[in-house]
Amino acid sequence: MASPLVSVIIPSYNHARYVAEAVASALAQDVDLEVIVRDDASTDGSWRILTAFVDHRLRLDRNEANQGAHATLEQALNEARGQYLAILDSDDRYAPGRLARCLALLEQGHDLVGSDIRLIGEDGQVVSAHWWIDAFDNLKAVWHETHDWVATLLAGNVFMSTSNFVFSRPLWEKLAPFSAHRFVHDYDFLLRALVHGARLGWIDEPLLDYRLHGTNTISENPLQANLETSALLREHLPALLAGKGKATSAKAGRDAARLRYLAEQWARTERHEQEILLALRHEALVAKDRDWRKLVDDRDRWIAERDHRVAERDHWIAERDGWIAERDEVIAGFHRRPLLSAFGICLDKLRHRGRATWAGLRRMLAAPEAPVIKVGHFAALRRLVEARRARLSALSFDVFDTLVARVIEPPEKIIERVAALLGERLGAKDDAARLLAARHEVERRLRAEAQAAGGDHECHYDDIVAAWIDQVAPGRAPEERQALIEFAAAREHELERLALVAKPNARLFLEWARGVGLRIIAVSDMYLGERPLKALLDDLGYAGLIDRIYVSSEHRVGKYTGRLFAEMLAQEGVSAERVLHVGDNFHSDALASARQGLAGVFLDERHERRRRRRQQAAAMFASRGGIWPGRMLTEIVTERLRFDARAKRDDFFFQYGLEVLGPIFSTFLLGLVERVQRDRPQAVYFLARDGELFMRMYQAWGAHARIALPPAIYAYASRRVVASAALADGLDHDHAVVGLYNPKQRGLLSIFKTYGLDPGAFAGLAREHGFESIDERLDDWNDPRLAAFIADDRVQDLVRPAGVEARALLRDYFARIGFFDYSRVAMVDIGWNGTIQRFMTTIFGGAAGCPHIDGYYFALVTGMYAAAPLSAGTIEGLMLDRHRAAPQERAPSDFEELFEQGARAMHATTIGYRRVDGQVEPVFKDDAAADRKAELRCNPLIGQLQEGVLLCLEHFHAAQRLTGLDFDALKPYALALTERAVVYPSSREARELGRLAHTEDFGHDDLLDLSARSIGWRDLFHPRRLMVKMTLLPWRYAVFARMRTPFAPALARFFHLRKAERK
Amino acid sequence: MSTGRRRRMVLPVWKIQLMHLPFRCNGLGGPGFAPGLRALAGWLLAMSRLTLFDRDTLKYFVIRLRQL
Repeated sequence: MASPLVSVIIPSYNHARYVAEAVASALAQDVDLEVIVRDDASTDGSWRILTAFVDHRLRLDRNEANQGAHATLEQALNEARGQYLAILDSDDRYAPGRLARCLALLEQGHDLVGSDIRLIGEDGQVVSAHWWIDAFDNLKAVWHETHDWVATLLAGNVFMSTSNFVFSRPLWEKLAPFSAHRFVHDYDFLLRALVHGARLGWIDEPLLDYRLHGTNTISENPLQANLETSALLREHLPALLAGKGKATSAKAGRDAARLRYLAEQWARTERHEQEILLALRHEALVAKDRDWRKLVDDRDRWIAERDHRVAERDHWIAERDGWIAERDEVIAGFHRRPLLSAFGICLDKLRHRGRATWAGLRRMLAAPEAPVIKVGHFAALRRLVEARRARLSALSFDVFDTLVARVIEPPEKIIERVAALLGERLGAKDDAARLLAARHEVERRLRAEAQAAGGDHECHYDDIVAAWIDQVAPGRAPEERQALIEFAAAREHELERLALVAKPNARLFLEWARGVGLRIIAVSDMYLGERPLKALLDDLGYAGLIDRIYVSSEHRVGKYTGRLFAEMLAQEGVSAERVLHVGDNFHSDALASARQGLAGVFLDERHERRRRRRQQAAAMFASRGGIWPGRMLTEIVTERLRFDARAKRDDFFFQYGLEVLGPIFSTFLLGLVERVQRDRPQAVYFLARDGELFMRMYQAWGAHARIALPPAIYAYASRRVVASAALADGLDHDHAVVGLYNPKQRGLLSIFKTYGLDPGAFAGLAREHGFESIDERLDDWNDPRLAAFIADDRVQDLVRPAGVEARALLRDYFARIGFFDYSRVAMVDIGWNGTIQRFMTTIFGGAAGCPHIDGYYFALVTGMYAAAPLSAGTIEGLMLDRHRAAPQERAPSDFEELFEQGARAMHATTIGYRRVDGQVEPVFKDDAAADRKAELRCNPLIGQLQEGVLLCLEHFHAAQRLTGLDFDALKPYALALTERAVVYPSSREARELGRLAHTEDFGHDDLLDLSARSIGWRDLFHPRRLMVKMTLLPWRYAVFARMRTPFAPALARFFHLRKAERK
Repeated sequence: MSTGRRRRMVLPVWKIQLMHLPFRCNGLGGPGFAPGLRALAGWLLAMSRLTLFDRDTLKYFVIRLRQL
């Protein structure tokens, strides 16, 4: 293929608006040419426009990725085949005949030719006034004045653009490539051409249209353009100004002119640079001022807001003062004329209430046309639906209190609890009331806004929580704010889940309704969104039973105005007559739906109504303290149990554990957990045998609450093993009388059994000291025979070796279970005298490595050690502690055996330790012993009882989580339950609990009869005998259980307390 | 839930008051499980009010009368 005379190079980039004009102007030149267009990956459709051209002279190419103007131009120039090369930027255009005129000059020996330029605007119109034109005219004037290219180019780039370049291939081969300057690569090319001796040509006709528009390269960064110009001049000046030839006056004049123009350009460039720098600095200052203005505006707004709030506060204070004055006036009036004032107050109240009631009634009297139906339960609802089946295509249900039941009322209790938990999280534990008020304020505001926007006063939970957090914790970082929002939302969902249970009969009804082909819709006035509500219902067992859910928070309209029903009907595309809506709220569910033409069914479940009533009253009274908080919590536990299939068992002992001992033990455990979290022991030792149930409860609590508690360790220890170990220091009087602390004590025999000593070894010595027999009862604990017996060295010589051996075994056993590895531990047991802790403190208290012991007991009577304070550590009875001198706590001590039986482990009592393969292991009482056999027979009953206790604990924990009540708040009611269990048992309770076998493991092998069978009607005629018998009974109040009236045990309690008080 | 369970777990307030009487008559006061006579009266009043003025039942009654 023959090479064209001229190659026109058009580098194209994002000039879709102008590129067609540029290409067309090149193709219109009447010379032999080729037009090479290389598109630099334009993104504005330039390439589509270019490919629309059909001309064999046109060569199109496109970069895969944007490479920049410099590289694109180079690539296009390298592809050119013409003898002469011309460049045209894609936003400029040639005048007709330009190339022919330039070629004529090139043919005359010029190496590079340019022409006059016409400035055009974006739409191609000629621009007649612009600084660019002035600058160009000045440069042209220099050329016309000097006809010296060095002088002209030192004054500035008169060619203005590469579009004005038409040059020969040899020149390009000599100078290629263009320099990497962003703005002055054309100027650089010209200066280098001059340095290399090229001949430049100029045509004084405007043969190029240079387009001025918003994205001209020069307008990108004028400062950089000027800096590049300065650098360029510095680079080429030596070569340009180097004098050649002889020094003549003409040459001197020419050089002076060149220097003058150079100086002018230099000064201009510097001035431009300074002006641009000043402009940039000005812009930065303006931007900073704009930022500051914003801050100032913010400050002014805050000040205005503060002033507004202060004014608001002053208004409130004034209002409050007005109320106080009004109240004082009423009080003063009441003092002057009490009866008249009271009458006036009552009359006022009645008048206000009457007005409100009348207004409500008038609103209500607008009865709907569609019928309102009342059903008492789901069975009646099913009959109703069956009768109307042919006319119905869908059933619509309210959600809360209709499909799901609440275990806590009113629902605002959940919000109160969330506010309390948020307060804890924010480190403002005592500020829950303020947080709650803020929440109500936010909700009120959002509801008012929704109403103002034309909807009902419905708002979305997400909006409430976000606005709430912004109000109570302003100025938090975005991540922290988001974490707080998620915390509040998660707590509310968790508590709602604990507070809601599915109604089994409702679920069965829905299964049936779907089975007969009815569509099931749920319609709820709720601030939770549709998705969390669906998740909640699915979690409660309604998955797959509900076809569609309509929630007021999403649709911004409520049921109570009927607009949510209208929305539901419109979206479902069914007529109102074919839908039946069921709900527990008469106004929102029955009346409002009936007014929309639906059949409104008022689900009036009597037991639900009564439950709501009871719980609302319980919540009202809970703030009074005393028994009320505990009673409210127990209401919640009973409601949860109502829906728990595991609680539906008939066996007495399970029921007794669940209903009687469960709440009492659970309250104790809450107190234990609170103390463990407060005192932070490193480990909690639960002492055999009665600590076993408490350990299981403690572990279950940790699992339910998902909190890390100190590890629980079970210790096989008994009063007998620690008492035996105490004998290493000998037997003194204080220790000896411990064995006599039992109404059925048998003197020395009881003492020997208490300390695990062999009675046979002491029989001879006892006789020597005047004892008729070793089992002679000792009513006088200061009996001189006992004192002499203890003082006998032979007795002590027999006692001490046994004590030393027992102490070594005890130490090794406790070392094995890690007791001495800690510096602070807790001990938990049923209690009574805290004997184990006391002996442990006495034996090891002074030894190095013995930890500080905090003893937490269910009940502490301290009868045996009333005068002996603990030498180290702390000791506390949670439900009963005689140190507190609170008589109303005493019930557990009046029937200790009940609580011991309820808490005891299934294994036998630990009677000692032995070494097996170097390890110390506990030794248990023989299963063949008569009392142990009786215990083994009772173990299944105890197992059932403890299953009940653990189930109660699970629900107790949920209720405690819902209410946040602590041990001190719950204890009074637990005391009432304890009093009821001990003093006012039912006849069945007395009969069934009498079946339990209770063994005494401290000094006695007796099997206690817990029943009151030993007392009959005949004993009533022998008061003295009756009194003795009753004194020996472990559970004296069981006698009155047969009488079916609380007055008899109340009277007995009165006399018992009186007697105890006199003691 | 059986009424028996409710009776054992949620003790009637008057019964708690009765259980407290032996302590009160012996002058054994202090923190304990007494609901207090005023609170007992308040409780009975609150329960009566909630029972008598059940808003939904009243409204239903009026509407039914209107629809008859």
